Amino acid sequence: MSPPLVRLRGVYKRFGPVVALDGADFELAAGEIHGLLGENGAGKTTLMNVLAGLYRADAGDLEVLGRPVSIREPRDAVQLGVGMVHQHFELVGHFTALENVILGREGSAWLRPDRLRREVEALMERVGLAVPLDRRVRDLPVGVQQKVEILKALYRGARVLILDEPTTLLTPQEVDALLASLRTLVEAGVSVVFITHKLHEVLRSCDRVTVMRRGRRVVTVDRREADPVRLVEWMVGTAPPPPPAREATRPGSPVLELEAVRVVDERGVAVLDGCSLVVREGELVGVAGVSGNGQQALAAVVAGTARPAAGVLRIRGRPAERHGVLDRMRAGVLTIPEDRLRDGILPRMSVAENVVLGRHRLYFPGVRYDPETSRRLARHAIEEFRIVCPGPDAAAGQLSGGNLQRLIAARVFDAAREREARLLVAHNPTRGLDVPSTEFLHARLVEFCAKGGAVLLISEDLDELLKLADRIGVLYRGRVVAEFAREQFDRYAIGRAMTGGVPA
Amino acid sequence: MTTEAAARGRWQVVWPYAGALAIALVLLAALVAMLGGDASQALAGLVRASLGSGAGLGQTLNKTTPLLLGSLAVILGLRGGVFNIGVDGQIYAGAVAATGAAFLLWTAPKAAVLPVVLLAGLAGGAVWGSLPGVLRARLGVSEIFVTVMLNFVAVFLVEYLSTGPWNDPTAGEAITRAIPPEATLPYLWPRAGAHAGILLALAAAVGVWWLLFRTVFGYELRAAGDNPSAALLGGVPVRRAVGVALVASGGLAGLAGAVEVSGFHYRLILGLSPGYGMMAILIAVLSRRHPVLAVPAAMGFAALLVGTDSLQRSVGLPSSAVFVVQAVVLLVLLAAEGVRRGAP
Ligand SMILES: Nc1ncnc2c1ncn2[C@@H]1O[C@H](COP(=O)(O)OP(=O)(O)OP(=O)(O)O)[C@@H](O)[C@H]1O
Ligand SMILES: [Mg+2]
Repeated sequence: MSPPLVRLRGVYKRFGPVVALDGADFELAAGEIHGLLGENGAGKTTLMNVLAGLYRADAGDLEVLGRPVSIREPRDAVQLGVGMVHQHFELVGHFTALENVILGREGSAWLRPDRLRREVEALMERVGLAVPLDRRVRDLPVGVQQKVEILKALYRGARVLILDEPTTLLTPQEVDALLASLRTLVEAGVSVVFITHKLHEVLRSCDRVTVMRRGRRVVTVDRREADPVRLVEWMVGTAPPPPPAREATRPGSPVLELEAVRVVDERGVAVLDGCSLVVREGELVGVAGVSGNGQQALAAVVAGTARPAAGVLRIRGRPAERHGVLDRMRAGVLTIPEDRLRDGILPRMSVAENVVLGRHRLYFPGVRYDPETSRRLARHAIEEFRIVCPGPDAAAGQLSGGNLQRLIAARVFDAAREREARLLVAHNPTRGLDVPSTEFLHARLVEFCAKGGAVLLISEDLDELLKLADRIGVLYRGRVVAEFAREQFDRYAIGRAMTGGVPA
Repeated sequence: MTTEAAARGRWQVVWPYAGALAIALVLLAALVAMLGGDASQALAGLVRASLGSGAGLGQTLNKTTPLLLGSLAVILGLRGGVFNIGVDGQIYAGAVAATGAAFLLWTAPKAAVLPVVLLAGLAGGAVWGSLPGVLRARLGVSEIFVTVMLNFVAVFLVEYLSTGPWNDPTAGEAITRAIPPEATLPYLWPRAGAHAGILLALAAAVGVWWLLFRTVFGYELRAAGDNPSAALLGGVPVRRAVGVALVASGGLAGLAGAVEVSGFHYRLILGLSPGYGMMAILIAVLSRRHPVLAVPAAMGFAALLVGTDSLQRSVGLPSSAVFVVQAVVLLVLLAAEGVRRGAP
């Protein structure tokens, strides 16, 4: 058998404490469409970024057509014929499609424009992708922008085309069109790596599938050997759910109630649509789902930074649709935001000033702000939450990710002690944390519940949810499509609901 | 920043500027020589005119006042994450309000006139700042457009008043009648011609420091300026804090206008602000948005302005050359700021 077009072997890559790739393998055959599946954080994007030269692996081998090669920077990858289309396009909005396609090609300034145009037109003809070359990219629909990205990669000579979750932003019609054009591309001699979370897309369009989990390859199979049941099992693992990290508590009265909540984002897209959910006192409810299915909107609407366009939202029995963040805080709602740098930290202000954020009006009910009080509270927090930093006056922006999260935890859990906190919304609270920090945070969540607090834990990490939650709701396309009580926890069933509930 | 680091940070601010000042003086000497003047005489004259004589110091103090108040206005905005480039307009608005009050108050008890005039200036500037403030707080409209537009409006208003209703017919130019004596600021140092405005400006610097670092409002404002989305999630009413900051910022600039009228010009004139707004931005950035550091920065700046102005008299440079010299000094300072920021 001839060697594969591309082979990655034993690729290892870590980001700080996080091991993103833990000896991952991957082979791409010439002329195939190869699906790459895996939960959020499995390492799909990282692995392909290594192939595209955007990251340098800490260890591992790379072969092209059986020959060892090294890719140190994107240019090396381009020379080897590897092109990648990222989930977030890298187009220049006010350039035309043609300008975007030819952008960055070496020596392009010396070539005659009409000749370049003829080249691009010939390329479009050959691969069966047509875009209006003279329109500005920002005026084109997303599906067409994506074609521009693909053409850009092909124009630079890509024989291996990596598409990272290309279908997430597309309408169903655009998805059909994309999958059809992938076939044409393959006939034109291109091999495709297709990253997705949707099983039916893999089963429809790919020749082979690789499933990744926790930074490693689980399996590579032919489409004929793949069926939804096994794919989900490979993705989420077959290990029995981990033992619960906590005693089930007898839930009290509802703290958070959502009934058919709809949230529309600034683009006018309904990011939550008919979402219903209840969290009771002493209960930890997990929300599972592939990221991008409404998790951000759910966290925002509960925290009070987004308003529901329709539906009912009650906090401790009282309607709260129109309440802002401050009202929520007064009602005892606390948040651990998903993006700690964007939503959690005042980077140029001190640790002390960060520790009091959110409860500053509690400590300073009058006009005066007393920095000494903040410092004292910060020294306390640094000790109790083991925050590694030079001291209360250090700028918070200098802290590492894990220490930032401890800082936020200190803020949240101390507030819990100070005033009757009722509901904690935590969104991916342990993402990017090392094991001790994760354990630490889990223990705090459990403690919070044990004291009668309600927790809404939105997480991409299914194991975390299986370990901690009393109930798990699965968020898919902006609504909770399935709920599982602890007795019903079953990786496969949850995984299936997460990937769109393909019938077995 | 730890306290030692802060102290170190403060020195880090000073050194590049000391260097920049030296470079600026050398350049200045070269320029003067090029333009046919005596360089050493020019430099000596510059120092004498700005700091080395009573009258020079007095002038420098008088110039410091509007620069300091203006830069405090900019600092207050910057701390909240807004860029008040309308300080000039707010200075004019404050000057108009102060002049108007001085003209209207001829029946009031004499002791009440000056405070009311100054407060009127503050209020005038605050009104000018409130429009961008409200638009920003309510509708999220960028303060940059609004403040710049209002600069034009204020200049037109001054032009209208100084040539129209309040015009001084004996002067024959765009200036108003003089304000009554009870509306004028007393001298702090009569022989040097220094008026008491500097005391107001220094008090304002301390006041802004206190507001920013010792009040809950200031805490929330700084949080809003540092990271609005985190502040919002921390329960800070971001838009309101920023709106209030713009109003207060306008008030400080308005006070500068009032001080210029009642302490220096004794009337409203068209060229009341020779671009104080832009210099205020520069001073705010040089002092790292710190109200107390703004004091030496504003004073140094004022000394440079006064000193270079004197070159006209001492070595007979044409006024256009004086502008060139000032521009060169500004460029060197800006370059120093760039170097400092680029440094790790
Ligand atoms: N630049 C980075 N810095 C720090 N950590 C990172 C970085 N990129 C990825 N990670 C971490 O590496 C792990 C693997 O991430 P990766 O993006 O490869 O996953 P993925 O399979 O593409 O997931 P998704 O389906 O969510 O896109 C995750 O834990 C992620 O948090
Ligand atoms: Mg990814």
